[in-house]
Amino acid sequence: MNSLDDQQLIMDAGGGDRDAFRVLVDRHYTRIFSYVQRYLGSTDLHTVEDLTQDVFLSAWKAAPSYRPEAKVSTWLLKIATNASLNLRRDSRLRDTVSLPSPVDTEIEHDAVSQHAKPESQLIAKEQSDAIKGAIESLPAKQKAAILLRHFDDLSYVEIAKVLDTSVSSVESLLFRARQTLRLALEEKDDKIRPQVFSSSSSKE
Amino acid sequence: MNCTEIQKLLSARFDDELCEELDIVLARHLTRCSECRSFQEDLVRCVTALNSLPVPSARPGFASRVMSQLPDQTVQRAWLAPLFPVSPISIGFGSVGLACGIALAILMVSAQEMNNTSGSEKLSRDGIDYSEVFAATPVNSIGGRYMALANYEGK
Repeated sequence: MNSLDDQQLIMDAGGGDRDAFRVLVDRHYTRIFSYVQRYLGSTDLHTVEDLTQDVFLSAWKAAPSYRPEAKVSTWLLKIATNASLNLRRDSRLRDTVSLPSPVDTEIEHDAVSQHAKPESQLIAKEQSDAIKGAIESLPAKQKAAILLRHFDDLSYVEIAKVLDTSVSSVESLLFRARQTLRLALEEKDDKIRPQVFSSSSSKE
Repeated sequence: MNCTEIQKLLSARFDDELCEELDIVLARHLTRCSECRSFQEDLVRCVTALNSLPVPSARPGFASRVMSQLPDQTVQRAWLAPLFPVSPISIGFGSVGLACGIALAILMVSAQEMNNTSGSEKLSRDGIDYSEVFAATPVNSIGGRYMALANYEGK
């Protein structure tokens, strides 16, 4: 079963084969989970897990009508994008209380001990936070495009399939998204330079 | 090409999505434009920052939890697939269309048969000979025949 390709597995799942679908879930859930988490930003772990689960439930239900026009992974990412977009639109997300994720906890911990870290690490951390915040602030399609390109390594053609748009549109989406990220990093640089300077001065 | 267009190309080249011709144009521009070279450096920084983001992961047992939530699959499509290699929705629309077509065909044949009944034929109902009705009132439609009949009975 594990040696079968995704197309065959989804066809079998469409016929009610749970074992085939289990193999697909095992193969793709990490990728889908990461994508959903990055798309939703700083939301809590349970919301991300619930949404990822919904993605696979939708895939299971849609498996009988699956057509091999795109890779199964691209098809799953498309379902995940639509589900994330719907959740974003849904007012429920605004009511969700964000729980501290392991990443957030790490940030708090770092904030306490940042004096002990070298400047280079501090800058890298600040940049990482800036880019994360900038991704969250991107418009829906730009965000999806940048995540699909950088973290899922999709080609422009595949991104166009996921977003139901043209390749030239994907090119524009990525360009605009990168401009926003670039500006966010520039702004962060302007803010952290004095901090790093003062930190260096206080050590002397 | 202006700098904005060049920077758009730079973004595409970063993704290996640029053709060779444009790549040459880009390289030429970069040799003489510091603004676009700066943009290129910023792109590298962006990607480095993106790559530094932590990889989130689900809690252990996630896949099993997904599987426990799955409802029974509707397997109807599996054995219908060889017969109807189209989606169930298409099958639904196709069936409705076919039914409408058959109904229309039956209706047209009936109408034709009624029209084919000429005035010279012996038409009778309830012991009344209607031949003269239709002979006196040439009609070519079902509605027309009923009108003629109504006029005759109203006399």
